[in-house]
Amino acid sequence: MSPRQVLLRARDAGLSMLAVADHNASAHVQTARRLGGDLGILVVPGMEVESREEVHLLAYFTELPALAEFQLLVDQALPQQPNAPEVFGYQLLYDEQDEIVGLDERLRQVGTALGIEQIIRTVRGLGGAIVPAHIHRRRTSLLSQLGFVDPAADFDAVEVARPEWVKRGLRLGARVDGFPAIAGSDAHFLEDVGRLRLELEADVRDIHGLLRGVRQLAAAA
Amino acid sequence: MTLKQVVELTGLCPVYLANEDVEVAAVYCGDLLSDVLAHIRPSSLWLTIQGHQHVVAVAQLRDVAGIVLVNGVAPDPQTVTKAKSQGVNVFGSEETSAELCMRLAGRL
Repeated sequence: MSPRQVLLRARDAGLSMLAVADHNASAHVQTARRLGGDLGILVVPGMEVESREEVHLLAYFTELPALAEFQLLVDQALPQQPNAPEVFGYQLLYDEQDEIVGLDERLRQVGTALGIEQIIRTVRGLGGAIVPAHIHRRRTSLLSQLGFVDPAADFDAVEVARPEWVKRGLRLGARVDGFPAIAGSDAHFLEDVGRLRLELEADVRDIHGLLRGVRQLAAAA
Repeated sequence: MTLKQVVELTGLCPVYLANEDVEVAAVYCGDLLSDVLAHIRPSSLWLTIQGHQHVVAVAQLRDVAGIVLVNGVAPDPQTVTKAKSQGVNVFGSEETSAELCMRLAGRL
């Protein structure tokens, strides 16, 4: 899953916008953004951050510096421990030509010390959008960890995992637990890139434009 | 105390027993994997309600003496498969973590 391979797949799948949200990491986002620029695909700088409660949240930004600042905070809030490749795999770093240029040796497949509220505040403060990931999942979701979705929480939307989205017959404009629902491929393998895409008839320039469009559909419904 | 002695004392039900001669030096109660990874000591007995397969990986990484699924929680089938292939002791108990800890208090 190098940035180049992901973007080529995205192009073949006909995507015009793609969020790159790695787990507590963002080293590939800049490369992905550059490659996306060449291919006419808008790459949303993102991260799937794991809270102290072990909830996965998608943080989306519009600019790389905001993501970089968030990454610094996340790095401070992660345990200062090395990755265990025999369990979590090798965290390889690629350049634009698919060459392996490094290895991320930090442990990232765990929760940070950041609570959900703190993450929401911080991401908003950096001009980003925040969407809890796969909220119905058996583990690492709002529902698995907290048992409920707080209707007063400052989320832009909630993400429903693809299988659940399909099973529930959801469409853009649907609300789940009081929030506009979105879904994506959540691709962990190349063949899943573009497997589920959202279509909006709107001139979307960034993640805020996308989420605004989704909110409008959800309000009209 | 050896794991064998702990099992006799507490009436744990073996799900998979790899080696009951290991030493149990401490007990840890935790259901957040990140928390357990950060705090559990080697040769600990880990009491948890998490029955998914990732507990086996954590147990291996931290050299845990054994995993006990409390509150009558059943392990996922993949958890048992993984425990067998990785040689990790897994038990079940109908009791709560607190009840098991109170039984072991002062004995380790």
